[in-house]
Amino acid sequence: MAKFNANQEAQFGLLPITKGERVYNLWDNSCINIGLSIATWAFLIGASLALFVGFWPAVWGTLAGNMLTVLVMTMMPCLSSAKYGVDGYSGAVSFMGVRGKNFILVCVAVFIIMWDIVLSTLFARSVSNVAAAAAGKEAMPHSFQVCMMLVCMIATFLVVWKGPLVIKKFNNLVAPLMIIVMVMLGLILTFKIGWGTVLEAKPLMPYESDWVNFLIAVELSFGAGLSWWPEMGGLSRLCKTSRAAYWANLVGLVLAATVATAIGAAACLTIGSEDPTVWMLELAGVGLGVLALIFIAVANVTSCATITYTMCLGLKGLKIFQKRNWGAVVGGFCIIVAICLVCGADWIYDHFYIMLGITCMFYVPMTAISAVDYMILRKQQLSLRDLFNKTDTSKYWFWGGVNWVALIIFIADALFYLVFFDPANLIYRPLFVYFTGSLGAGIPCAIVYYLAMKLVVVKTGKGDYPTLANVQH
Amino acid sequence: MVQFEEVYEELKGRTDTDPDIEEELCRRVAEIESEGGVTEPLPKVDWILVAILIVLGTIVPIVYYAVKYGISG
Repeated sequence: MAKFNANQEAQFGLLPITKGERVYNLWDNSCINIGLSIATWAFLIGASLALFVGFWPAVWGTLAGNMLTVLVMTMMPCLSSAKYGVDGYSGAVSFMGVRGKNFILVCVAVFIIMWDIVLSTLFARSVSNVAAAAAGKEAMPHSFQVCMMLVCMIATFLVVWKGPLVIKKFNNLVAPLMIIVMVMLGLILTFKIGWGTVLEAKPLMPYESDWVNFLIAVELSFGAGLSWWPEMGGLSRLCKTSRAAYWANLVGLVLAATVATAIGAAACLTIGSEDPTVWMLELAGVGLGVLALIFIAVANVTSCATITYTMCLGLKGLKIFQKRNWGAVVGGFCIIVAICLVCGADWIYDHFYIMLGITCMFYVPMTAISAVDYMILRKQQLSLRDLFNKTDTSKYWFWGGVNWVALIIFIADALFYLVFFDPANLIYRPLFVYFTGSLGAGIPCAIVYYLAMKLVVVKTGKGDYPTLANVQH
Repeated sequence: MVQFEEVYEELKGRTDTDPDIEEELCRRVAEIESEGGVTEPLPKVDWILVAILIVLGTIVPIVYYAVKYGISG
C-alpha cells in the first residue's frame, strides 16, 4: 500500500473536483447512501423511537422526519458540491464567512465526538455480551466495558491513521455484514415472533398523550435526518449530475433508513429493551445473537473510523493543524474521545435520544440559513475562487472573516429551539404540540435570516450577493 | 473563458496551501468557472417532485396522526 500522506490528502482532498474526475451516477451514489443508512445507528435510532411510540407510528414518524429534513438539508451541501466540486465545509464559507466556517467545523467536531462515544459504547457492550455468553456469566464488570471502549478507539485510531484505503477495505466488508444482520432480524421477526406481536407491542417509556409521543418520534427523526450533514458534501462532489447528488439521498437516507430504523424499532418493542446489545441476544438466541454482535462490533469500528477520518481531514485543513503530523491530529482527537469515555460519557449511549434532540438544535438553524442563502439569496451561484481565498480580499470575508448576521441568528435560533423542546431533559413546551421543535425554530429562522440579510448585508454589498442592479447588468 | 493565469494571479499566496497545490487549485477553479459549474441545476420538474414528496411523506402522515390522536398536550 502506498504511504498515506495526510498533508497532501488534506490539501488535495479539499480541491474542487472537475468534470472528468466525477465517478458516481445515481445508482452508485444510491448504493453508498444505502450502505451509510443501514449501519448500526439505525438500531439506536429505532430504539429511541420505540421508547415513545408503537411500530406504525415509528415507521410513519421516521418517514415524515427523514423526508422533510433530508430533502431540505441536502439542498445546499449536495447541489453546491455537485455544481462546484467543493466539500461541505468549503461551501459553508459562502454563508458563514472565511473564518466563520470554523464555528461550523468546531460544532460538528463536538457532534462527531458524541457519535464516537455512542459507537464505542455499542462496540464495548457488544463485545462484553459476547464475552459474558462465552464465559457463562450474566454480565461482565464495568471495567471490562471501559477497556473495550478504549480498544475501539485504539482500533479507530489505527484505521484512520493508516488512511482511506484501509477504511475502504473495512467498509467493503461491513456493508454486506450489516445487510445480513438486517435480513436475519427481519426473518426472525417474521417467523419467530410474528408481525402480530410486533404491531401489538407497547412503547417502553411513552408520555400520556399519543400525539406528543408521535411528534417526539418525528422530532427525533428530524435529528436523525439532519445529522447526515457532515457526510453530504464529500459524496455529492463526486457525482456526475445534480440528480445523482440529490435524489440518491431519497433512496438511502429516507427510504432505506426508514426500513432499517423500523427493524430496529420492531426488535426493541418486541423484547422491551432499548439496548441492541441486549435485545440482539434475546431475539436471535445465543448462537446467532453472538454472531450478530460480532458483526456489529466490527461495523462500529468502521463507522467510528469513517466519521473520524472525515472530521480529522476537515481539522487538518485548519491553519493551526496544517503543520501537525497526521497521527498527532487523529491521536489527539481519539484521546479526547477516550478521556470522555473513561469519565463516564457512555451515559450518552443510554440517553441517545437526547443526542438526537441536541442535533436538531444545531442543525436546524444551519439548514435554514444555508438553504435560504444558497437557494434564494444567491440563486445557486457561488464564486468558486473566493471560497478558497483565505484573506480579506475574498468576497466572503464579510466583517473580519465572519458573517455576523448568520452567526448571531444561528446562535439565537439554537436557543429559540428551547422555547419548543428541551432535548436535554426531554421536556416539551406547550408550543411543541403545534409546531414541533424543528419546524417551530426552523421556519422563523429562515424568514429572519432572509430579511436580515436583505436589510443588512445585501444592501451594503458584502458577501457577493446578487442585487437587482447586477442581475439586470 | 476563464484563464488559469487570471485565477492564479488573484489567488497566489492567499489560499493557505503549498505552492504546488495552490497551482493545481487555480487550474481546477479556472476549469470549473469557465464551464459555469460542473453540473446543471435541478430542473423545475424535480422541484415539483420534491414538493409532492414532502406533502405525501411528511405532511400527510402528520395530518393523519393529528386527526387520529387529536392535537393535545
